[in-house]
Amino acid sequence: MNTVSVKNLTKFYNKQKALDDISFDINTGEIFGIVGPDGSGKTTLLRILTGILEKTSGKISIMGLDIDKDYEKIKYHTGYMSQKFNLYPTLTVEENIKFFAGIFGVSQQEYNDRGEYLLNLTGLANFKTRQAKNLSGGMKQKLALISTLIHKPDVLILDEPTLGVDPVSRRDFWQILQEFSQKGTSIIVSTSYMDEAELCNKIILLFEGRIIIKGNPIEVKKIDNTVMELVLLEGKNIDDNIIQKITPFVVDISFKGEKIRVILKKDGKESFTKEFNKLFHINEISPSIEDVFMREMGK
Amino acid sequence: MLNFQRIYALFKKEFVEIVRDKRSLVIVFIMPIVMILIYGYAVTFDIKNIDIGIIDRDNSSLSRGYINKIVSSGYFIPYKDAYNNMDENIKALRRERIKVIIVIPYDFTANLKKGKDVQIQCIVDGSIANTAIIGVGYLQVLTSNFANNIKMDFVKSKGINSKKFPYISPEIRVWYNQELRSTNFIVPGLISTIMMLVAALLTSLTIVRERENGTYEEIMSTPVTSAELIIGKLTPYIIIGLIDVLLVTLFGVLWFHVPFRGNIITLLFFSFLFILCALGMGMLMSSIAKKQEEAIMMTFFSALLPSILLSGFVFPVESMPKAIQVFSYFVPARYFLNVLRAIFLKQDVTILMLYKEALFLIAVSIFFLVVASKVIKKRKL
Repeated sequence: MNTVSVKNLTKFYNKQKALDDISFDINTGEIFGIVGPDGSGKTTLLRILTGILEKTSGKISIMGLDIDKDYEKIKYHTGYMSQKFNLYPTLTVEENIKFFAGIFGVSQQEYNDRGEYLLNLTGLANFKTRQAKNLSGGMKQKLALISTLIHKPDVLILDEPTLGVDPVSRRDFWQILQEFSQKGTSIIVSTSYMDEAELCNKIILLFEGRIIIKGNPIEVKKIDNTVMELVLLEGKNIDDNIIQKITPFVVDISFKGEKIRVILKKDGKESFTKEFNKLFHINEISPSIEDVFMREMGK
Repeated sequence: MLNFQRIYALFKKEFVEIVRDKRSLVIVFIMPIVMILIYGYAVTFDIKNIDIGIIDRDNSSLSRGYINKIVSSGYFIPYKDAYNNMDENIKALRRERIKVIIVIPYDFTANLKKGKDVQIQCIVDGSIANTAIIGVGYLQVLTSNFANNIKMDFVKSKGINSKKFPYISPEIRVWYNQELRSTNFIVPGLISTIMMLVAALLTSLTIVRERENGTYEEIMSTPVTSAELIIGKLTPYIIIGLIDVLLVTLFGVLWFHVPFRGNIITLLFFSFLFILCALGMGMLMSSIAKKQEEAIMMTFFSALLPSILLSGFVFPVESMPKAIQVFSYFVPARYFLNVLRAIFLKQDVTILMLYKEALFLIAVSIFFLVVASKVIKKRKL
């Protein structure tokens, strides 16, 4: 069943186009990734889905409800976590959760069951009485997550939830998300981390307000461009001259330590190898989402 | 339909935030007391101890008697260093060591004895108009008093029965503030200023703070309506505001011995209406401003200054230009001030007697709250 359905969504800020003809569907229990660089329209899209921002045109339905007609009802089905973790710094962990429970009309009984479960799941049970401002970044993020989950939303909307959080907390966080998706919560998550994109069931790549790629991460990575990793041979030096020679062969070039990563133009593998095998060790590698993204943006 | 569980959740949250926020606590409890202490002493319209230079060219027992009358009134302190030295006195006036110079002419006694008019020269520093006007007023009263006494003596010495002598003196009676103490007049004014400051300042911070915390976005994504948001957020401040009114009133009565002749219910009723106005204004600032500092500045200029300058606290509304008088209808402190002065100084003042003020306060508070909720609704982010 489609929990979220977006058709031909467009958003203008004054005359500036922020979102251009966005369409996608999300099924029950799917993790839906919105990937894109800063300013690509991720936050705008999420804010429209939560009802904080109004769209310019298009159709959106969430849990079968039309956002134009039943916007107030939709709010009970969604949980939204904004980029800054949604916390009251002087309130304790428990008070923060209780506040959101109160706002959503969660009964005491439900709160007891669900609150305990969420606190244990995230490992925050021991910090119930700590003020939110005294939590670490990772704990803040988890508290924010609990606050948005306390009313059992069918659709969870997360705006770059792992921004500025340490790698261990990031991994924990994604495990929690996966647990909830298995229980049937649809999760919409925006991210600029490409490795997180690979953990989603479905992704869209957003660039300048348009969807440039849509699909599941495995399909998306099936591109016909070759990705090569180059390492300089002994005694060779790299200079601008060489870079200039490489440029016509590639759609993207990036430097990672001693390695140079290039995405070749279509069918350019042989000619490239011929040209540069005296200068580099050349290794073909499997493309990542980032490569796909770079190729698309390079078009 | 309002949902009371949501309102209660907002109320509780807001209350805990205020109690845990040091800045708010200072605004709530320390600032009112400090303000009433400082202003209760400093803002006084009773002018005493005006420094005066004296030139006595007559130097007779009569002229010394006149000087004595002025000095013993307690309103003037003679500048003795420049006694009878005109140049020194003028210098002193110029550097603001003294405010007034009086010159008693050579023929003071002689003319008085002949029954002729006597003129005493009085030079006043007008650069501080308030002091000058009041000082001159004192001198006039003291002088005519002195003159009357001389007349009486003269009449007596001629053997005429003074009771038959046509002698008219005004008998002035002051009601409500018999001692004409300006603290009695100022403390009520201070209460309204302090309330405006506390209530408007605190609320002006609330929504901006949510916006800065990023929590505003979440609140907006929840089913909370803007009416629920306003009610839930404002109720704690109404309670705090009423506590503050009582605190400051108590201070005024116990510390400054201001009489409290009305009743406490009337006071609380009008305080409630006034706080509602102040909160509405604060809420409006809060929903317009982007940063806490901005909200504070806006509150100062649009809520605090008018309630000091345009409310009749410092300058009577009647003496303002017409255009500004119209503007002052929107200053809630104007009504509250009337009410407070009545409650403090007049007996048996009831809510019904002050119905005009009540209606105006209700109208102004509704105006601000409605505009604030419209702005909140419109400016979602």
